[in-house]
Amino acid sequence: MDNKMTLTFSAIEENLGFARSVVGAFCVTENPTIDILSDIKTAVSEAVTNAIVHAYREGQGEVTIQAEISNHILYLAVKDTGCGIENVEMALSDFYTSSAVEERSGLGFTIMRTFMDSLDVLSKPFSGTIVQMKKQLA
Amino acid sequence: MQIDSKNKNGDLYIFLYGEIDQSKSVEIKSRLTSLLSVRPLNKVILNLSGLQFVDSTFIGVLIARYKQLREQGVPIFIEHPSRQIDKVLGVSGIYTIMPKVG
Repeated sequence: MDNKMTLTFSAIEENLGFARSVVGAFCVTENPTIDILSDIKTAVSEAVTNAIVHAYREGQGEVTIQAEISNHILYLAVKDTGCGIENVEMALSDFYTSSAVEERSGLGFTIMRTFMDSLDVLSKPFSGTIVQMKKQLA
Repeated sequence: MQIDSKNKNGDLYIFLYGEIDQSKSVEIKSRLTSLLSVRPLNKVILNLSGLQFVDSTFIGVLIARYKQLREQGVPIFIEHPSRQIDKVLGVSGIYTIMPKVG
């Protein structure tokens, strides 16, 4: 049974738990294991945090999560209309962070790539970012 | 968020509870910095058995605390992470500087 949903919300850190819960609940229809669910929620947390902290530099903006389940595979897209990434390859490398000030680990994309089955990042400066991920649910 | 601590003659046990993401980062940073300023301090054991979820924000917090204590030669150890937390910590490589002891 194909299923999809779209969720748009304010890019604020208070919404991180909410975003994780919504994607998790959406996947429950496929009866995934707890481990698969927690992998997906971790990846969602990383992608949404990137939008809040980097895309909008914690200013105002919105995040959209699109999720689709087809043939027991979750297709996830986390989108923002923020500042975009100048060098995607560099951003994807382990421990890289564009944040000079805070205590950031630079591991967000590494975790997304490790916890999900695939990761693609589409971004251009000033044009926002789309993070696409897939995960086999069953 | 709930954080408990127990000091046994300079061995500081810190118990973290709940979920840690960006929304908790300011609070946990300030509370850990405060707890870690106790003296004498021989070692720190972070008990994660009450933590249900972390993302890489927590790694950033841990690395900063490690740097804070490294100069004093105070080691930090990690106890009882759940499977999800163990996976995040493992990917980060943080066990090489903060060994898992339980």
